[in-house]
Amino acid sequence: MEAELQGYLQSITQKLKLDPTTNQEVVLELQTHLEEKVKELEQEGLTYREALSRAVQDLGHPDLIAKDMYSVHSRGSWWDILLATLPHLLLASLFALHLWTRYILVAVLIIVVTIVALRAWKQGRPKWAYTWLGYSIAGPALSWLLSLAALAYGAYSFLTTGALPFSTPIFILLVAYVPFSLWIMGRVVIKVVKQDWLLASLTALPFPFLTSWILFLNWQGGIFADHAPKFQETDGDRAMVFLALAITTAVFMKVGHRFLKIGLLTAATGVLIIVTMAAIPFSFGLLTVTLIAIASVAFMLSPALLQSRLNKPEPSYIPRDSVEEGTTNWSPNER
Amino acid sequence: MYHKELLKGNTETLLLFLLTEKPMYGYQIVKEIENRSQGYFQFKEGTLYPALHRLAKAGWVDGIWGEASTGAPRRYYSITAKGEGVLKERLQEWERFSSAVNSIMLAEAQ
Repeated sequence: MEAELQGYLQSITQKLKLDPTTNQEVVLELQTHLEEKVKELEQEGLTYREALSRAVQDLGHPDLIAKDMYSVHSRGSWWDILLATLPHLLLASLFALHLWTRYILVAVLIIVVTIVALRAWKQGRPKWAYTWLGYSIAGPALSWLLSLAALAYGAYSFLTTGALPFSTPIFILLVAYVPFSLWIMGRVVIKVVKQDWLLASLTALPFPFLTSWILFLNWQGGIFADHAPKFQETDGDRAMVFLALAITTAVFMKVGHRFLKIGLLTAATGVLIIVTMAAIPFSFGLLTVTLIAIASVAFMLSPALLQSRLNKPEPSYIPRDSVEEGTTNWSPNER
Repeated sequence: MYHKELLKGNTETLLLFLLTEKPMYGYQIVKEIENRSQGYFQFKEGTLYPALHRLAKAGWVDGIWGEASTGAPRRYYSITAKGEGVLKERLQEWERFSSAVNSIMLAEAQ
């Protein structure tokens, strides 16, 4: 019997998708409510099973409670929004002021962002921490991508010419770095996805844009090429894109409904990646633009798939087909 | 159904009003509302907690964990000064609203 109460509470826990502290508090409050009501109903002469069934029915379906609670707690305060948009705004200003070629400044900023993200993560995962987390894993993620590209290029050269294009120690370092950076990213991503895949998508929001930018730089002759004056004209467009990411993040945090949040991230990614590609001084075909936009949107939605693989299936005795807005029809006897 | 709509629009005010008397926990609030309305308002309990949390987030009530006599943890809600200000405004609005409605709908009876 106790297991049925736990099952009900557990299914709420799984659906809340809030930070661990809030999750725990919400569930504890509901648990004491149910226990108290069950005790009272038992005193009125009901068996434990009947009492629990009544109490749970009166409280309502886990989906409805979780949805309402999510809508209350997933909204950020203005303070959360200010902090959450800060990394996007910072990068937008780096582009606007043409400061991104000052690599020491950029390195210092990445370190600061990483430290802030780690501290925030340890202190109860505030809502604003996810954008900071995104930029702090951008370093490992992009260097992983570049290392992988370098390795592929090395392997290709070795197969065609029989010699490596760079020294063997560098090759060994690259071979070691690729799984290492992947491991760091994997750990972070899995932790975020376990709470809520949508937060993982918010974390990953700058990635399609950072990737397109790095690829663009590479195509123009590499990150360390002498490009400052040459690229100044596209800096303004890029600043606007990251400003748009800041606005998207702010709206995401003020909206309470999950479907609106998902729609917002999807639409913003699709539109902004097209804008980004239009800003690059190279004419892509319509098909290429469409394919890249679809790939970016798929990337933003991919954490949802990962979550469904990570989380165990829900307890089978929760009837899934009887969810109806405004009704409270869950009962542990309805097996 | 009509009274459900009415209750929906006034849940927050009812909660704030109840909490002016003394700090209460969720289940206690459910019972108070049912008793005082003589069973007219059957509060859908699942909507109570999100409503209380919304009030707490707005800073109109405080939710503080305490203990029941059995030792079980309980969250007691109490109204804040900000909440009292909101309640005052809402009660004035309610008075104006209900007297306006009455003066139209109950005009014949007078």
